[in-house]
Amino acid sequence: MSRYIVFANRKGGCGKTTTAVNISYIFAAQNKKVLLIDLDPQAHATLSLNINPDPERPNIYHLLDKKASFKDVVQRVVPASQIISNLPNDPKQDRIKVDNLYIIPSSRNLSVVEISGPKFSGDELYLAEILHNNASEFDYVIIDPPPSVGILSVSALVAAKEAYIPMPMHFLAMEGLAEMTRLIYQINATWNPELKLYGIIPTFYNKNTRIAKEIASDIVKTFGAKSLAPPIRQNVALAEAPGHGTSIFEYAPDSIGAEDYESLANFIEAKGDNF
Amino acid sequence: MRERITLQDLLNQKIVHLPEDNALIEPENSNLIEVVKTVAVDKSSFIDKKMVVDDIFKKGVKLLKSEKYCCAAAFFETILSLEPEHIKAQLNLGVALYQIGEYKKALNILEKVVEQEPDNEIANCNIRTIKKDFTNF
Repeated sequence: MSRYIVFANRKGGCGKTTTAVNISYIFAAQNKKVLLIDLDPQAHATLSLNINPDPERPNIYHLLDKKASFKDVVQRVVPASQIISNLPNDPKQDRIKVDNLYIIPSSRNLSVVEISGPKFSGDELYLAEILHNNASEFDYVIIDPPPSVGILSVSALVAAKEAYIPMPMHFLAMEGLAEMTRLIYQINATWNPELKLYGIIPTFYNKNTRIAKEIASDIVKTFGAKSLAPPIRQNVALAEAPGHGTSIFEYAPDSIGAEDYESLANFIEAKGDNF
Repeated sequence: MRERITLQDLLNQKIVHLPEDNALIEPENSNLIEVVKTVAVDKSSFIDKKMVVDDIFKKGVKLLKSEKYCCAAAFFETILSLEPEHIKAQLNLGVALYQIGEYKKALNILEKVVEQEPDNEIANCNIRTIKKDFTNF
């Protein structure tokens, strides 16, 4: 059965897209069939996988605007190592390659949907309906919503069953976590009773700071120990990889970023067995 | 220096009530999914909508009685998103908000009831109680 995962946070720059891209990639590397849905008009997940976010090519906007079918907009991700030559040339690094990662790309024209909001009552359910009717062949459907609380984020939460909240260990990010929790509750009560908060992912983590320890302990106290995912430490390779159109596992497989995302993937995979 | 604001403080501000065992959020109304979908797609379907509202209302009252005020408030707010004029949901939301210390919000919602029904005894009585107990709004 497909697992529908959303990495959500209305705060920008908290590592949502990096998490969505790298988790999609590692699951695909583990021979799972993965569909990544870029639901952000900034199209950063699309760019991170070396796909041109061309508004003219079939993308998520055309799907939501009913101008293209599901099959029209899904495209296979070609590993960067096969198409570009500027990855660090280190023969010791054993690059992970995938051939079953798919994406529904985004483009800037998606912002029209976000600005105009739902046209009809029930529009919030449309993405869920499409995915549940068409995406059953995928083991994982991973959604990367925009950092806002509009129709796109709501549609993502209505379509998903598992919500993970990536957040840096800052006070204002904690406020964002509380707000996301409220939103998840609201969506759970109104549209999607199957949606659950599965975990909180500390990003840009520095275990030596007092605030990181305090907020991590706050999360454990409030949500329970099993809600705290393995942290993603600050790592420059994570910021560099999208510039090379690929995941951390192709760009720098020996980095701490790759190590942390592997631990996170194990955490997420285990959650599927526990619920 | 004032004490650090905790995650629980922030959740309280937003009227989010987590389950007693601090577990991750569990759906409280999983049996409603199909009906909620019907209502969402077809707002003219009066019977379905009434059924959803009644179900959510019963659950809200149950939560209120079991003193899960934040969660109850979320249920009554959900009803008001479907039926903004639902008097009983407004009255109960007022009680839930009062119980979690959201006095201004409780007062606002009860005053809305009085706007719709000036002689509503429960609303008037609760407004008097809130004003009497907490005069420093």
